Amino acid sequence: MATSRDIKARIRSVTTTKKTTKAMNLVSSAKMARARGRLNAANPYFKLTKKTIGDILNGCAETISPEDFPFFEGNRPLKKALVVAIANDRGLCGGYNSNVTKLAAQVALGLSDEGKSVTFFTIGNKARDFLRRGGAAIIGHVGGIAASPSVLDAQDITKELVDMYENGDVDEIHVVYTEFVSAITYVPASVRILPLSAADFPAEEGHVRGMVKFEPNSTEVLTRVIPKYLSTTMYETLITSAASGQGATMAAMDAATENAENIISNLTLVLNRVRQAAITQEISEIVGGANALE
Amino acid sequence: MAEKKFRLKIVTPGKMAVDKDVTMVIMQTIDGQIGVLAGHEPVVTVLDHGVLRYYEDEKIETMAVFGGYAEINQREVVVLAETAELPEDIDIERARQAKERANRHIEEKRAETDVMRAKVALRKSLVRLELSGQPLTTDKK
Repeated sequence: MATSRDIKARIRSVTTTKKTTKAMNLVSSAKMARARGRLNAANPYFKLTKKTIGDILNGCAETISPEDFPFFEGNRPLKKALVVAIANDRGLCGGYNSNVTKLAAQVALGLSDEGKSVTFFTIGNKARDFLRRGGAAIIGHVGGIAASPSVLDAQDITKELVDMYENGDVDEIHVVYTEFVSAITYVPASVRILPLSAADFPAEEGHVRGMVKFEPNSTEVLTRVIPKYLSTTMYETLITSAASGQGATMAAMDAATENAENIISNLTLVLNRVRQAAITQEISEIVGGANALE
Repeated sequence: MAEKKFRLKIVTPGKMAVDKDVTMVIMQTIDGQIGVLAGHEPVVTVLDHGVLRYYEDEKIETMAVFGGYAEINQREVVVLAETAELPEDIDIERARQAKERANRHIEEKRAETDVMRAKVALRKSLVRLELSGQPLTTDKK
């Protein structure tokens, strides 16, 4: 049976762990609040960008043929697919990392069933570690930005992806990320960012689209606007993933703190019982000794 | 006579900078300035770094818009920019320093990309100074 000293030592160690997890919970809840604030601030921008791009793509569908414009679907056969997976740099966030990498693997499987070769681009060290363990071909990786991505990070990543697309290294690009629904709900999701297809942007109800004119001309506008749209989408997926990742960390650390509390209260109970047993034993020894003297 | 109004939205990833009914917008496209009144034909255009002016009844408001594009349609003008700054947001001293630094880099002519980057920085600092109503002389003391 454990001595009261052993039990005390364990209680001390669990108490330290609890302090750590509690601190991590507070840190991630602050970080989540920040990421969430940025997500909310950027939301009108994301919405309007999507609407505008939808208007543009539908407005020029008749005048520009995909043969002339590499970003459009139908420009070339889709043989080489790239899956961009966004996860955390670190663990301790429950199922967050594994859920998103699982979906990435599923998306990849679907693509290879269509006869396409699939490679990966990972954002967040855990995405890379998980996928590498599964034997995936990873052709690019960005670490250290997943917790608080900036607009500039999104632009740099987009540039890298667009270069691969334009060089013909890949023919289509999917992004697998985690949608931040609420502080306790995060849903892994997948979106194809290239090539673009007007059909991916259905008009909102009551919104009428017409022909669109371009100033100075369509090629100039599209070559400048589409990369902006892509980096906006990249920023959106990064920031919503960051908020989700922090939320998941927060939930995991909350659960860990609660577990630590349970362990401590159980151990305290055991400690009291052991102490009581020791006292009882001592009393009975004294009483036994006194009896023997008579 | 009350002029016809339309909605102007200037949006950046950081905030909804403007969401107002205005009578006219003048903006700097990569192909020169354009002025937009209500009922303009639908156009999509790419904006240069520059000062955007809009007329709200009698008032004229200005704003520096960086790295954006604009969608003009029958009912509204939507400007999607990387950043948008109000005159009071601008740190004149910092903009002036940025301008001098950029000029220096251009004169020293380091690597190709450095000069390109410096030119963009110069352009941005000039826009900031213009917005804050500073004289734009580029001559050195």
